[in-house]
Amino acid sequence: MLGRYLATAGQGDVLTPEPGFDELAGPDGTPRRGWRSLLAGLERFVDGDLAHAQHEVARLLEDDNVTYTPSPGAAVSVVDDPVPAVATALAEPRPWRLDPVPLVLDDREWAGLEAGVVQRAELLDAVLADLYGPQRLLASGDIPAAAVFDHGEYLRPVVGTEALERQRLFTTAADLGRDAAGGWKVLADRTQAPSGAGFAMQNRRVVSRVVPELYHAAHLHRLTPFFQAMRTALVESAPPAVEDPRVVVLSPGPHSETAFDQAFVASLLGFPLVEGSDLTVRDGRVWLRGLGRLEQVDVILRRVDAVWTDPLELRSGSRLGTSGLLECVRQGTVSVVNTLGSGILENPALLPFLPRLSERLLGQRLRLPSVDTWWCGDRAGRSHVRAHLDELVVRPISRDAGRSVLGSALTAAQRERLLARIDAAPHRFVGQEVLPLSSAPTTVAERLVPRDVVLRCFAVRSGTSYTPMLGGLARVADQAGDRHGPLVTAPDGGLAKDVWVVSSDPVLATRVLVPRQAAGLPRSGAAPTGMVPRVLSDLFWFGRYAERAEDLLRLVLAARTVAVETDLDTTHGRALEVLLQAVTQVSTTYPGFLGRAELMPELRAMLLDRQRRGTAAQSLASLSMAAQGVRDQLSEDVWMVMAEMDRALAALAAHPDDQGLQLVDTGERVLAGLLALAGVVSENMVRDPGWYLLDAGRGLERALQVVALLRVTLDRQRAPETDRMVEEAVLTASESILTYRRRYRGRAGVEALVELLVVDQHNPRSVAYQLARVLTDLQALPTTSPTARPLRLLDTLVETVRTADPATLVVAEGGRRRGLERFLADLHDQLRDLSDAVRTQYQQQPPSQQALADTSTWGGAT
Amino acid sequence: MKSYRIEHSTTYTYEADVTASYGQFHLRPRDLGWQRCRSHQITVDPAPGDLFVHDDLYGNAKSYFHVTEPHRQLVVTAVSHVEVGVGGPGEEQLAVPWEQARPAVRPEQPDAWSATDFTFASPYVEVPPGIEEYTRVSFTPGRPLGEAAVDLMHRVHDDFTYKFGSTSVGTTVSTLLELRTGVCQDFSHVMLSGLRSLGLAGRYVSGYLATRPPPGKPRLVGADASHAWVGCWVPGGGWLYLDPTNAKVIDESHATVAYGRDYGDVLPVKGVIFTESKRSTMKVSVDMAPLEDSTALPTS
Repeated sequence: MLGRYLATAGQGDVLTPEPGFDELAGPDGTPRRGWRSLLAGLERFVDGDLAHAQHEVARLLEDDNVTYTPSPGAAVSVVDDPVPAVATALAEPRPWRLDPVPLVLDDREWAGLEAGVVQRAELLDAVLADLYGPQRLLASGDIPAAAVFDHGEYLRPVVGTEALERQRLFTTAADLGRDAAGGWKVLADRTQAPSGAGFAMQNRRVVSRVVPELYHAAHLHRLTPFFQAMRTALVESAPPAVEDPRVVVLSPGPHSETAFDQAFVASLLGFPLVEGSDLTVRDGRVWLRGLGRLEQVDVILRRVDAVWTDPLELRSGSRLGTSGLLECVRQGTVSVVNTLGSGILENPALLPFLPRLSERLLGQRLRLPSVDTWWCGDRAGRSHVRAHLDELVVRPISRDAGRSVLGSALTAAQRERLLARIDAAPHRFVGQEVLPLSSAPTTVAERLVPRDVVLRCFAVRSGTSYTPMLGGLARVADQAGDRHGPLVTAPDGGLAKDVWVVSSDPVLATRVLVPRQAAGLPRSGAAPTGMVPRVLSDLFWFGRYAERAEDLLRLVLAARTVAVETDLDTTHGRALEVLLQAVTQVSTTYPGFLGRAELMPELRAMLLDRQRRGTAAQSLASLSMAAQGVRDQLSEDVWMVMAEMDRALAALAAHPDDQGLQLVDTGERVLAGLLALAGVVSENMVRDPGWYLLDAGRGLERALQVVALLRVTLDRQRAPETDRMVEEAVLTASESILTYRRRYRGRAGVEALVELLVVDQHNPRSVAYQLARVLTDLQALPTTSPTARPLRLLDTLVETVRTADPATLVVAEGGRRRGLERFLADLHDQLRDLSDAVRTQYQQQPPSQQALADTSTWGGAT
Repeated sequence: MKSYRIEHSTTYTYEADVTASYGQFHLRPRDLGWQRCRSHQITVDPAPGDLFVHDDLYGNAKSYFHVTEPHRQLVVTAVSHVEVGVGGPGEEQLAVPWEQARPAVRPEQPDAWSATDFTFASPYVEVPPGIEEYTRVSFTPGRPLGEAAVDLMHRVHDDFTYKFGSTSVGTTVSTLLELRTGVCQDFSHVMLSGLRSLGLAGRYVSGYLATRPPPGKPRLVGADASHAWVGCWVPGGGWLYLDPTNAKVIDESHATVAYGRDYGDVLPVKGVIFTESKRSTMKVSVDMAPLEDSTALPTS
């Protein structure tokens, strides 16, 4: 395997006759420094080991629900017509893809790269300070004004803000590729809110688990010091005189492109993940909206693009931000990092000027070159780009203007359009050389093949300089010879690779020293973010959806059993018809079995159809979305369980002609998953307000489901044999059949059933039990007063159930149990009122936000 | 030199409680070579929890407020005493061929780099196809800048009909070119778009215009309005300010409040409110009363 790779990689082929630089194979076909221990390990691989590793990587990533959501806008290139942003639907998250074989860099080479990345961060920081401060570089012409003033990330309201000193360029990432000679060049700087550090850490975790023998043999620098440094730097970013700062990670929410990365970084740092609506501004400060109180926020690690962070001063109408945030920055009461406006440094028009700026601002030669870049805003640059369009990548200076394009890939019409756009506003474009890039060994169908690679390096502020991550995030192309494709033009195309910086000697200790006090424990008694209304709401719904899915699955399985027992007898008025209609009614998936639905397709739809409200699939999808929103609150085991449930559903989807065997198997596996989830919640989660809300949600949903089921099954008397089957199925679906048999020994009937499922305080499946459970949960919440509305409603409910007499309720007249019907209908209404009251009491979101403008059309004619 | 007392009041009324209101305003007249703001007072009702002021990047006084008390009506009132004289570039500077008045070709001018900020399309001033052609009728090759700019002002004034209510704040320049009607913001945006289509620097000015009552009638209090006009960068001479709505170079009747790229940069009052209210109404009243003797004014 390796012999073949070494013999062929870097030797050129039909597509690229020039021998390129290979990361593993040197020009003479021998391995490069740094790879030796990895190769020694790989040599011991036998047939199938590599494929197995690849499979395991995919499984572990799935277990942790590691995803990336492609942004719909990223598909639009600079020669396309812009798509209206509102019309694009939310993209589905895509599984994160990772190669088991890392990119290895020897630490001698790394030292040069690292010094370059650190210097670049210092330089960009100095440029940022000037652009939002004295603007001397613009006045002197060191940076052309047109390259800055017409850039989408030049945020005018931020200019001149004195308090920015402590919060300038906090963290940065550089995307790098190799030139023909093997030297690294920067393709792009990521300074807005760099993503990927969390993915890098996740890659490391997965690879080290899948190929531990390779991992341990390599003398490999660890990634954790980077996160320790980031934690320290966040604490140090706080406004002066704040002793024990509260830090939050601001996310656009679970739908954002890098939601996983954001949540994972937040949990690695140990800081809460919040959204804009969780924050509020008062008294010139930012606060975290808690349950009944506000907690001051001192530092915000921003993962929301700056223009969206403040609807008052930046993009009007933004729902991702907090009104007044920029004013708080101006007042110096909060630090936002990266500072608002840092996206201006991603501007590729700055690249040609960096060497001079480095001399001027740092008094140093620029260590790490950028790809050769010609800014069309100056005459020479523009004519070069026009003349060499076929050899260049054309990039708009602002990211919002679309994706960059490769000149040689354009049609004649696109070329015309692009040139016209450049002529209309030349300063908005640059042309960049197409780097040859290096290749790295990548697993494809049990073989290692060379694939083009780019590398993202990270640095975080540390005192007056920066600390690099000793590793990074590499991406390789999916196709051979695809160096011109999405790897370069799309920010997140390709397959990920872990990056190993290896030393010839064992790595003794972490290279980053963390000051003890800064890395210290979080303040005692600090309010957990389980208290934010949005988080409480997500957890409440987590509980409800989990229970809803579980109850529906139990009912579907019980109905399926009856179907088998009755040989699919769907005669009107018989047990199977009653139960199938109950499936539709309890899940509210009308028309379903009340219409003309066929048995198997409809039962399958109950498990698989995500688009239909009320199905188990839809409950599970909502459950997953609620969990994403509170990822930092949940045990990581949750994702493993959810992945297993997804696999079970996929197995059913793969059998379209299934007559029920697979349905039962999938149903039972998903049910097992939901029970495991309940176990994780019960065994692994701290009892904080979030947990109590989750548990209350589960209890309320169970009570609602039981009542709904009884309403549609016990409403009338049927033939004794039918009644017996229906009652058994109801008891099975309510997981109370064993208790029933043991306790009533065949005597019984509807009265016993009502007693067991409604009024019995000791049956964990009964309504009475849920009411007691919800009461305990709500009383454990710190802000529940004894006269709060949910408690008052609960009192009434408890009383309704306590005084109910099953014997009287089940009396039938003319075949209908009207007393029971009325009782259950009343119970159902009361439970829904309670659910609403809980939401109002604990999950109250602020009233909706509206823009207020002077919409007058002015006068002024004399 | 003329003196005025200017009262500018903006009232928002909502049909349900507003629980929080964050706002910003640009209401303080600027201090300039030809203008002094003698005193300036702001009242926000209900009284805000916070009221902060800073100078924005163009040197305008920009204020932030946060009303925390639930309310159904919000009133922001500014009372300013201002003295206005005349200023502007000299004949010689205005004689420069307009091609030489592009900031991009005058790097030797110390303010050329900052004027560059006003040469591009901005959120409310797009530079649509057609505007350059329209503008070039006035900007013939080699024509002196002052002459060309004044000509453009007259053409905008003549070609566009002042019609209250025919446009809204969001009306784009390309729509205006078709409608050929508008109010002072629209006249200004069209003219700015024209200047920028040629690479010239054009800035938006918000302010007030003293209106003269018809002969024999008393001045109507509160009948005035905010006003807007245009500045064109003149190398070595600062800015030439032109009022396309009234076809005149600004004079002692124009009181300047703020500069920006367009209306959006210098909104008199804007904000974000939190409410379930579905409807709100806004009423603006401006009164610009001439004062007899400027020297009698107390200084603030």
